[in-house]
Amino acid sequence: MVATLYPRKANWVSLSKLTYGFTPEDVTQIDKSGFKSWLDKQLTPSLPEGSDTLAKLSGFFTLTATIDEVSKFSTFDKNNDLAGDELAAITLIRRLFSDRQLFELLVEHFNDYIHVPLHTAWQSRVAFDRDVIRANTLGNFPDMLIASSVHPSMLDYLNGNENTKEAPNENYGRELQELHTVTSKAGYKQSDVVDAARAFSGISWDYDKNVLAVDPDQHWTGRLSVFGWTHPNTSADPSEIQKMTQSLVHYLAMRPETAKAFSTRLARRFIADDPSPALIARMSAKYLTSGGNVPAVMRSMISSREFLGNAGKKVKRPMEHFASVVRSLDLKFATPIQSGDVSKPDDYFHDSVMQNIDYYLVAQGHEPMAWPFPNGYPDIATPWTTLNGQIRRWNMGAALSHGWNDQDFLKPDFATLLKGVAVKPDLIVDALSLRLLGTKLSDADRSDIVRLVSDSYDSTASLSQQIQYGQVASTLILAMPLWNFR
Amino acid sequence: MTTQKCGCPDFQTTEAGISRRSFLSGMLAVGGGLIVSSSTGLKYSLAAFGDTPSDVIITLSMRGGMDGLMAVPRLGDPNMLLLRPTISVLDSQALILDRNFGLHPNLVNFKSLFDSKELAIVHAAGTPVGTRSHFDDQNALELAAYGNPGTTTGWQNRFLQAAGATNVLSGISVADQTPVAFYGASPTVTLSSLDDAILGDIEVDHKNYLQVLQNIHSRSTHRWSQVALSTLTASEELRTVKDQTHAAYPDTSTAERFKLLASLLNGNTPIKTASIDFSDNFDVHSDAGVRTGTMADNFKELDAIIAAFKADIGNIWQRVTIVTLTEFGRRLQENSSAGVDHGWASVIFVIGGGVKGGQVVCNWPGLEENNLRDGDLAVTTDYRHVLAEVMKNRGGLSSEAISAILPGFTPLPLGVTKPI
Repeated sequence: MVATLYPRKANWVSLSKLTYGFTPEDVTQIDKSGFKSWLDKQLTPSLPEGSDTLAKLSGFFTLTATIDEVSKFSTFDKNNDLAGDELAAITLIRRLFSDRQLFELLVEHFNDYIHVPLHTAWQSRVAFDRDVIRANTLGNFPDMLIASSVHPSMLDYLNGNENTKEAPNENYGRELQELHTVTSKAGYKQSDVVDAARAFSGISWDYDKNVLAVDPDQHWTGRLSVFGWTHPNTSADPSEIQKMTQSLVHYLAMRPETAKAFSTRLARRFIADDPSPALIARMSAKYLTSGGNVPAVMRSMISSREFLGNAGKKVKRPMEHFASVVRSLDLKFATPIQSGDVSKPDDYFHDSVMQNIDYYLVAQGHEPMAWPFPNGYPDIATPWTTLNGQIRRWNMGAALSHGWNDQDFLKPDFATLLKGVAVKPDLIVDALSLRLLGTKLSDADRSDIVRLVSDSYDSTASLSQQIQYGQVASTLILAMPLWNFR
Repeated sequence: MTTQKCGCPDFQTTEAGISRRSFLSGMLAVGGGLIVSSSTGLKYSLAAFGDTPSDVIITLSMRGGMDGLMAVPRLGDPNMLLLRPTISVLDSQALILDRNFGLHPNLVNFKSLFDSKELAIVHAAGTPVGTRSHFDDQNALELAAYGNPGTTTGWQNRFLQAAGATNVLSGISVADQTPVAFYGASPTVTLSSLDDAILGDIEVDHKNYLQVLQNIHSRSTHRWSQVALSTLTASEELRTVKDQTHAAYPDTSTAERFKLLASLLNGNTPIKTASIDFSDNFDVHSDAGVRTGTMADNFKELDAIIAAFKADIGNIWQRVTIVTLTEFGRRLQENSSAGVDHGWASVIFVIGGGVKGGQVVCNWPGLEENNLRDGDLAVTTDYRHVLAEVMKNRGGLSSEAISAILPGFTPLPLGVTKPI
């Protein structure tokens, strides 16, 4: 019985790295179809999100709204930034429940990489997520960069809208090189920054018409040189200017330095804080031969020996930790999502369970896309290994195991989770540790936890023994060091 | 570079002045102590210095690049208005500090602190290597190990080791994520909320629950588990700290962090060093503003918070030294969006009861084109001089210990703090 909830070792490692945590269905699927077929599906752009996720998303206006529609709909404005709140909610629903788990992990990764903080560019941030990040996540990285370079969200965030020929604003020109492509290790110069800024000068977003505007009068003309790329840049023709900027971004995107930086970030996301140079070299080579194709580089990483060889080397960030609790305990929202009437700003989105859910991440400094600087959330263990972070994880593990946050989540269904398991502390601890950690506990840890479960009391005097043991055992197993790794 | 004196103590701080003989070639953590080996073969352990009595040294990180020329404008210099036509603080608007410098008009409480000699300003200060990269410069600033590439520990953590800190609450970063300055072997605590610092109970005896959590983490060697053991110890100690505020702070997230730090200090937490992030972003590429605007608003908030913090902690203020740090200042010339791009030198505010305030200390490099570095105010005072002096005078550390914390650096006294 229990064995069906527990995937084979290699599949467990794969699922813990390539999903936000796995449900019993994930386990059944991967064990049945095999890893290769599971991965092929996950990397298929047309894979459906799943009916449950689609139903949860159906009430959100901005899911499909254009920039124009968001701008003109009076419900949304800069001050309330309900569009940003919606994007956080939509993102969380997908991370927690979508069948496209690997896709969602990659979307998170690229939102950290080509980062525009959540509550900037309120009219267009949802479109940025959809048209720049999601549209290219299973495509080519250079295309994502080109799309980002003139998107209104990026033009707003890194001051492209104010970049003119007299006094170029260097913000985007610098971060394009430092963060999005070659990185500062590559040794670009201040003149490369200035020329990259000049290349984009005169390109801004027209908020009246909601179209991209290229103003030849504000475009700096003359020869440009950026990190080995040169261009005569003599034309003031808008379409020529855009072709020129695309050529610059594409050039930077396909530099070997970018391949290395891209591969390092990806391997750091999925394998270890400090991935090996050999792995990075292999992935970088694939990046360059595939035109920066994301699935191709992912496959090259996953097929490496290091992928399975580095099980449990990554500390989960708060997002992955929270999502893995929800998915592994198969928790359900306590109430349906009610976004309200979109035509009534005071009513819309106010009593949604999603506001509570978002707060789990806000409180841990990890709200989706909300990092305040252009480099995205840190992706190594040390910054996230904090007193508040650890106490919150233990307290949250207890609360969700017990169903204390019953406005947000229903109690875990221990009758199903422990189906076929005799109601004895040791057997319940064994079953839940296999289910959650994919392994039995060491004898010493097991005996400590079993003793605590045996000594527990029912403060409400109303619980079945199975639930009482289940919730204490679950609390303790979620406090195990191993639970914090993937 | 021509050097103009600014009516402040004269000192020599050029990089060329660093003796290569003092360059420390290696540093590694062994057991509980930090073993330092110099290129001359000298070895000693930082832990040997013992638990030194010290002030509370607080770093306030103004991430994004704080504009020192707007915070502390140079008076009577035509280059300011020439290159910053829309965002210069005019001499008539500035709060006058001395004949050369003023304060931004939103820093009214800073002016009072300057007048009561609790605020000293170090101008044209910054990191020895300016790259204009937020992330590289911030990282390097917090490691403070320019003389020892490859170092992965932060200077505040090395300070704690050198000070022989034994209590896990000796080092506190008030933040959601542990800052680089705290990376290292000395156990420290990162927190931003007291509510989420206390282990909640489940339906078992609290002591037994705590014991099992300690057991499961003591059997694991990963850093996560080592930190968890500190977390459990600290969490029990923090139960006695009252979450109380005795002053009116602005309603901002940075103010919440100072309130938390004040509660910890008022609760007699044995803090030796703490760090706080100013949450708002100083990366003001547009609309910096003079009276209002992003940079101006940041100054207003900063000013109100420091005044409230001082009132909140009462007499403890006498034992507190706050040092503001930023990865770089801004370009002298404003850009097309009334903002300023990344630059190099900025100012450091040194604030507290142990400060020799009422002075602007600098080796003024000048704002004329040939005195700028790539358009930026040049750094003539390495920020490590400030750290070194504060660690010595207010942290009670020896020169040897400080050399080990700041490898390859020869500190010179600035005279901005009183000896403890």
